[in-house]
Amino acid sequence: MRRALPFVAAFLAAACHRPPEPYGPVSAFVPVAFRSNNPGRPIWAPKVTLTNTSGAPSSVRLTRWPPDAPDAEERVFDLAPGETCSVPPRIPHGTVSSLFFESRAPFRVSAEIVDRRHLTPSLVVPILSSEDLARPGDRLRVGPLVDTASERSHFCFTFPGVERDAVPFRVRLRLLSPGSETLVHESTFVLTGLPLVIDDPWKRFHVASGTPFDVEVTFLGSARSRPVARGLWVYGITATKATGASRFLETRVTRGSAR
Amino acid sequence: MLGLGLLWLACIWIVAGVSGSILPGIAAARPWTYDIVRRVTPLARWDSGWYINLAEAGYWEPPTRVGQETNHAFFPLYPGLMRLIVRTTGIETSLAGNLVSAAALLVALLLFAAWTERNFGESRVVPAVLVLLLFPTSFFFAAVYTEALLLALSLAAVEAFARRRPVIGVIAGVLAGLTRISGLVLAPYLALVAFRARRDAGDSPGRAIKWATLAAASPLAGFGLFCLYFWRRFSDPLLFVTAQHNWSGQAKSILDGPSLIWRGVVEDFQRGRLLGGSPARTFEGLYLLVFLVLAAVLLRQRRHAEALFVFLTVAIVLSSGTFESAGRYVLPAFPAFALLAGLSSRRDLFRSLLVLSAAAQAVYVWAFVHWYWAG
Repeated sequence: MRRALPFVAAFLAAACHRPPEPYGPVSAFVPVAFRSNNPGRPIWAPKVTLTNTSGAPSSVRLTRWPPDAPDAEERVFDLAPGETCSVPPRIPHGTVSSLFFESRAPFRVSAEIVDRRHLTPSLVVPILSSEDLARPGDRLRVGPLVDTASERSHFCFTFPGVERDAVPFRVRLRLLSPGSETLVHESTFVLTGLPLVIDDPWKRFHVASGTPFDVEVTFLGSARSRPVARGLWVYGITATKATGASRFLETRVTRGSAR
Repeated sequence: MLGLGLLWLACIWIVAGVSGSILPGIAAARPWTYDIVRRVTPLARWDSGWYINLAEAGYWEPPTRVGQETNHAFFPLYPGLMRLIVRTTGIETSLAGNLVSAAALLVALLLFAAWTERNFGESRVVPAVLVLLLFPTSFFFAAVYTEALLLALSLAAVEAFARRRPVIGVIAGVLAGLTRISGLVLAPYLALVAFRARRDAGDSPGRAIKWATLAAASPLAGFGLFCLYFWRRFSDPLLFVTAQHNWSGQAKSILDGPSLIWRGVVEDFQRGRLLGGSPARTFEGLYLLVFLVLAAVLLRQRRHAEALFVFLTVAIVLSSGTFESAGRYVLPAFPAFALLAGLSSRRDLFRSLLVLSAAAQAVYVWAFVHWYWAG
């Protein structure tokens, strides 16, 4: 039995996880990419473009999470100086995905979600950097989320696909009255390993229908005790019922070290 | 025994690894999300997902309606051990489950060898271990399932009480009660083993009964701790029962189980879907029948305690109302495997059966890896 111990120790050491190697120091995170084809509803499609803003040829690695097929999880774009290319969606229908770009040279990403019938205004997606994302111990606050006769909100936990070996993440969620510290709901739970949309937070967290609130999320880290490569983001969206027009709510980050 | 166990584990992992590239085009639909499918080992499928989820996320909010499947139907010890390994080493959660299973199996083999030698003689040990390892559904001992852990704890408890080491026996019994509902059928077996051991040592009947009561109480205490936890956390000590009930999707009690199974068997015969429609269920019915016969043979050999244990293990499946998982549920009924190994006196027949069984196990592993229901 004792003879086996070094092998067991070596196996465990080999199995222990190390964070994925970054492709380059420059990164951009598209927190939501979405496409759908539901009859009677807007035909949503993500429109994402990538531009090489450096003066030399460069390559940019894209990580989709989740992709529509395993072979679409990663793709490297080789771009000439100043070249702009369109990024194929390759994401599943009806599922929120995120896109993460990394490169050694500067680049620019723009993203919007468009109604291909042009009946509903496009939603311009804010592009984040790795530094924007919440690290373990950080707090994110987004709001106010509303459910009125004219508007309805939802929110989503999202993260770059390079976190696939660290997920699922643990979070503490607090729903607070808008702009105050009055607690409406509090729970700690583990997210799924994919971007998680909370479509109906009132039902999900047993809050009285129509109650407005801010969402405050404390990022507790990997449920598998693995190192977090980049971080977590929470976005909120409020849609106008009459027009279908949507807007992102402001997300504020309080760093754990600042508290 | 350890060498035999390690060799078997290596073979199972090789078969599982190779299976992924054999006829991948006819794999069944995967019921898990993309991230889980991407990271788990090939020996983590179906209910393994619940153990992975429990190890990572703990128990959810209680179910609110019949038909709502929640993780309260699963016991905490196995996922707890997985969590301990994951939190300390950072390895993939399913791999942690495979490691727990493998370690438990190796311990179980040592204990099973000792138990078989004491009860059937030294010549029965190797054949019995071979029967245990090569039984068609034994690959579950290597998968992210509780079979190996329950087998190890059951054997540890039985061996400890038989050797009059009550502290170890109680600890193993309590842990078995925290592993799976099947741990509860250990209670009468442990009582009879403890009683017999004390009487053989010259204790009075009254004193032997006290030890027997202690032995029987240990797995029940484990289940009681599980209920206590649910009571403290969710104010519902019988949440496990509620969750089990909700899983079935229909209102039924354990008394309805045998009649539901009988109805299913009749239906399968009438519709002619014994092999074409639901082969896994048909085979599971056969395994159950074999174990019932083995319980009867044990009884005829006046091995009353062992016969009762095997019979109660089968009875759990009968009370569930379905054959599903019967081939897996019978795996901890170790006395039946030692009895089956009696066929080793007919050398050629025994060898042929082992080869056939090993081949069937390889087919089961392929099916399991490709997301077909294997038990």
